[in-house]
Amino acid sequence: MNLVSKGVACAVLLCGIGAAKPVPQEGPDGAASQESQATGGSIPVKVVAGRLVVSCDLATAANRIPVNLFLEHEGRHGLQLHNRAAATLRAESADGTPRSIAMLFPGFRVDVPARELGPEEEFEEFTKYHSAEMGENALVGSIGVDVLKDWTVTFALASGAVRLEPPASDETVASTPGGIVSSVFVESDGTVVAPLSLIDDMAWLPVRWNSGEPAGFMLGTSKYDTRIDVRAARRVGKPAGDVGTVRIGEIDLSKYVAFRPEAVVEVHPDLALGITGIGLLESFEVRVDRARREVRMKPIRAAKYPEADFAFFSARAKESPDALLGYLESYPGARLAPEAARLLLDDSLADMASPEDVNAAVKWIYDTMEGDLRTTRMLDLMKEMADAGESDVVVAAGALGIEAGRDDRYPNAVHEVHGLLGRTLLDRGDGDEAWRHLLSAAFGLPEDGRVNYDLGRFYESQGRFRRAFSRYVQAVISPESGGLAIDAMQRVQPLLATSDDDTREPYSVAMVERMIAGKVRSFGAASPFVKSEETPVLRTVLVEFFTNGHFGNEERGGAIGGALGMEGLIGHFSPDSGVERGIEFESGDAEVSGVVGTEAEAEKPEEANVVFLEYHLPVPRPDALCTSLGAKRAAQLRVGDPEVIVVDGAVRSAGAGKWRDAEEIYNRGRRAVLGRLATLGDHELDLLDASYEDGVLSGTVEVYGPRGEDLAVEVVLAEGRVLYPGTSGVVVHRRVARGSLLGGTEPLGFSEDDGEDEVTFEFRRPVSEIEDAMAAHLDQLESEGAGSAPRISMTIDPREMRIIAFLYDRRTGAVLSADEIIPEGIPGDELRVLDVEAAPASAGGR
Amino acid sequence: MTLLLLTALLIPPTAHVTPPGQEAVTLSARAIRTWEIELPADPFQKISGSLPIAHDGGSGFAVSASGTGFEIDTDGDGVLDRKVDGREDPETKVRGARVTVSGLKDGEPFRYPARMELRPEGWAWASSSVLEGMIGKTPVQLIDVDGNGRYTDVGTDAIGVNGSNVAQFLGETLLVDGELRSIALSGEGATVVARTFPFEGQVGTLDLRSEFGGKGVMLGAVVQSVDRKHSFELSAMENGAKVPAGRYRLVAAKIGLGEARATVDTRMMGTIRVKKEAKTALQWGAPIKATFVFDRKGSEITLDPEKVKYTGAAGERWVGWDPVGKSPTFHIKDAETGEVLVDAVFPGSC
Repeated sequence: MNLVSKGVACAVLLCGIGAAKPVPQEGPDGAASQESQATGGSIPVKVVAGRLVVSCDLATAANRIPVNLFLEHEGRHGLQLHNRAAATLRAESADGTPRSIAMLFPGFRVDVPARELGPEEEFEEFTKYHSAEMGENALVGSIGVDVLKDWTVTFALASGAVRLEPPASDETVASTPGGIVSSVFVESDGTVVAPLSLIDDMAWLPVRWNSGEPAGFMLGTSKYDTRIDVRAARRVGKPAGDVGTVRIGEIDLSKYVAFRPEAVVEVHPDLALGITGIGLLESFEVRVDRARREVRMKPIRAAKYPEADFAFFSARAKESPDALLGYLESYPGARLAPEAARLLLDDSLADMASPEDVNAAVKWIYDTMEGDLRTTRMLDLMKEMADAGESDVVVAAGALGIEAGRDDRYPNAVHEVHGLLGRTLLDRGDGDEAWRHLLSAAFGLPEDGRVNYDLGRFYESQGRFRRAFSRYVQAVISPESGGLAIDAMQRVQPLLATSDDDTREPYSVAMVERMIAGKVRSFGAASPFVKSEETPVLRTVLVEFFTNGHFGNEERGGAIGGALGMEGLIGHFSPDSGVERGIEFESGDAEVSGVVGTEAEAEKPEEANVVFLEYHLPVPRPDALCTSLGAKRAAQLRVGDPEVIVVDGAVRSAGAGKWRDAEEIYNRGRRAVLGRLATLGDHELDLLDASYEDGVLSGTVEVYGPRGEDLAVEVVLAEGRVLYPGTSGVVVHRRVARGSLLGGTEPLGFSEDDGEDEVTFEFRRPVSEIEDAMAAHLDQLESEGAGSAPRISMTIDPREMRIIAFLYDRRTGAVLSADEIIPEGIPGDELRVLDVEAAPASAGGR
Repeated sequence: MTLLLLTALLIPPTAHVTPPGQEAVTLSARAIRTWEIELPADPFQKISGSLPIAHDGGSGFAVSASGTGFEIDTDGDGVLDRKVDGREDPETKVRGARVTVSGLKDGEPFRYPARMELRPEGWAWASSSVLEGMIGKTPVQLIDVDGNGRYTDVGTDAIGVNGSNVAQFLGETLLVDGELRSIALSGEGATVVARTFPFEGQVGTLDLRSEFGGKGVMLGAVVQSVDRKHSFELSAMENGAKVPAGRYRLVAAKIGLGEARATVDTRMMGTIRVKKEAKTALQWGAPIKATFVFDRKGSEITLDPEKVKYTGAAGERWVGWDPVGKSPTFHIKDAETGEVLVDAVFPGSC
């Protein structure tokens, strides 16, 4: 089975039908733990920001990691786990088969057969704001009822423990004196014993409310507040939740907590009245015995009603900013004050309150946040409000965020605040003030793409184009600002001559590549390929690279490793000067037609016998370089994820990895290519007379060799270099396949044996048609739900155009011969020699 | 105190002269910042150059797509003054944003919040305001679903009743304080007067609760008459509700349990006939039938959770019935012997 993460594809692939193959279940014993699952034990827990958190180790046969997990008794799951933690644990095998995971607690362990995916953003947000309370380990998941239901669970939250005991056997239960509890009674120590209802594994306490009506209260631990169904509360005219007594035997829950009115989306035969919270359970020791169907609640604290909680619920129910303000002024340090402050801001904005009132609400959010997280909180608020177009709030929050910047737990937060504040002020026309903040941001985050872009905008608005261009160059290597920066550079570059006397060089990818050299990662082969007896050249080889601009990232690896490896292969096998231009020439020919001879030409390497194509696939999400041609070719070659290099459609080599893997990827690819170069083929394909005129590419393909029923010719327009800064860290993409020059959906067949030695095909297609097809393909991907891609670098640069043709087997995808040509008539022919001299050995990724 | 002053205190200045049996109330505009009202129809309209909110300076606020976001004129002076990128919802993967435009209307300052959403055809917008008030003891909220600036289009616009966040289509009738009444709306723009009076047509009972098969909580169930004159949200009506006799369609429904939610695609369902003075109970929900397609190439079979479909007893299709990490188990058997060849589940990441 094939495992891929959510958002990539969730299909499951079953191989080898025809032989019995039950789902294997590996044990986690490789974790070398001595703990026993049978005994149970005590789990240390702590309440962090109103959530019940367990610290433990998770282990599989492959790995063991320390983690924090929520403990949610009413969570309808077993073990939820963030994908990153699952990846570290190798929680699924390479084919997607789940692996058993052990949760290792002091003295015992609990095994689960598989993990489930949980709310990852919630886990990450919790870690960001509460890392200090949790220690150095992240919160990565949650333990739910599917785990807890197999145990007798005692919540002793006041002493920081949850105890798990093996459930009583049926025989033990049957021999229990007094049998199963059928009604509520009180023991001598005040412990209330009540029958437990189990509905779809959820545990329900029997309560009476509203003058004795029976109802159910679910036993929950996922929230601090004890919730009461808002509809039930409204029905009795108590929208603030003060519904009166809610009793379990002698215990009146309403004396211990203020009920929080919320929608309780649960089912109970009487009434799903509410769900207990951590705050309530802290006043009791609660033992949940599912085998005996009983719950025991022993009060360990005297009831103390939280007036501040009720004051908030009451203010919230009034739906008025004044009520919330009154609450905040009365209880500025209360647990629920941050929530009230946020609600106050929302209500103030909805009520179109005055700027002073809105700013006051922002200040409440600031004041109710912990001192070392105020800037972080303001930054999050600024981001949200910037998206919502509430620039006044952004500015107010920015000013406060800067105030607390030095004290913040995350030192970069203040720089980000400066950046976002500067951008907002720039948008509002307050350029000088914006510039001050943007410079502060750049001081702390010199490589931040968006900050550099915004500084560029400021300089551009001032007519300082060279300085603006310099900032845009720094911005282009960043995925979040790259697209904007490309547009800006094209806009500003023609203006540079007006600001100084330098001779302008036309804007081009080549120029940008030179300017970002050193700022991005690059990999070059030690030497160009030279054919010899040991490394003969008996054919032209096609190397196809399947990738994506957003596959992985620079830190963890992904497309970056493949792109750098490919950069090495291209530099080694196919230096630019070895590619034909317009007309055919023989290998080793010392002259290049159409180009004025220079010293550079005399050193021209041999004709390139290796040609390259890069296809982008829409995984994990589309980028603007995805094409239907790439999808078709991937299907022919049965390429799934964008992480492979395929040589001649036959030999696969790694096409993804970390940047430091580039040399290994290059070496593997090189070996694969050398093997193919040394294999004599039966076919030969030549591209001839290619030209670009009036926006139309045309030319001829000659193919020699035996016909075959499944043989066909494809002719591809590729761009030598394309700027597309994605999250993968790759900025300049090379030999990017943009579309088929055949126009139709079918390749040219090479099957009919007409007795001739060779077959000649002609092709002709406007480049604009290919650009339209690229856009249409992205539209289609969007409509299919694959995601959207920023439409950058969607215009094909004629100066980078190359034509690549190959003969292949439609059934297997195997390539029999290939050729590459640069068409005559493309702009910049006159600069060709300069290009050769300046051929960069640079710049694949950041 | 003079008689004149006493009269002025006792009669509110906005009181309407209402015939016996009728009740008239004024509904007033309120902006909703965090939109949680579920509508029975898609309210989003494609943006064609502007947000068509009329103001003293023109008929709308200019909008232009820009990258993945858009630029907008937020103050009505014709200049695109704000770039909005929006934010992708981690659940739905839909990029959305909320903008507030402001200006003068009839000389008075106003702010208009709008919801924006990126659709395949481009950015679309929907109102983020309601007209609200109390009819009897029943709170109501009118929503301009079709974005034409009016809140009174029967069969097209929507109305939330009794504090529910699930709105029904606006009809000619309304359940007010448990009684079926006719409703007439007058006025346009930010203030509308609603008059209700007893319904005098033939009535039957429609019950969507008692014959529903399912473990979850019914969070919404909206029906609309085939002639689009009547619509009701019946999820809270345990024994059904009196509605005008006629034919209805279920147009929207949602159930939930805990954090999970499932909605209904009603397009494959037939109509529900409500006879006069009779009770009609719709049998829907469980048993649910799951169907799935798979791709087979040689000895490889590919199953995709996106391609599993769940159909209920009334032909309704349940959508979102795929809790993350909770996979069904697929048994692939030999057709002749019945031997299980492979068991498979979707990966835990799905």
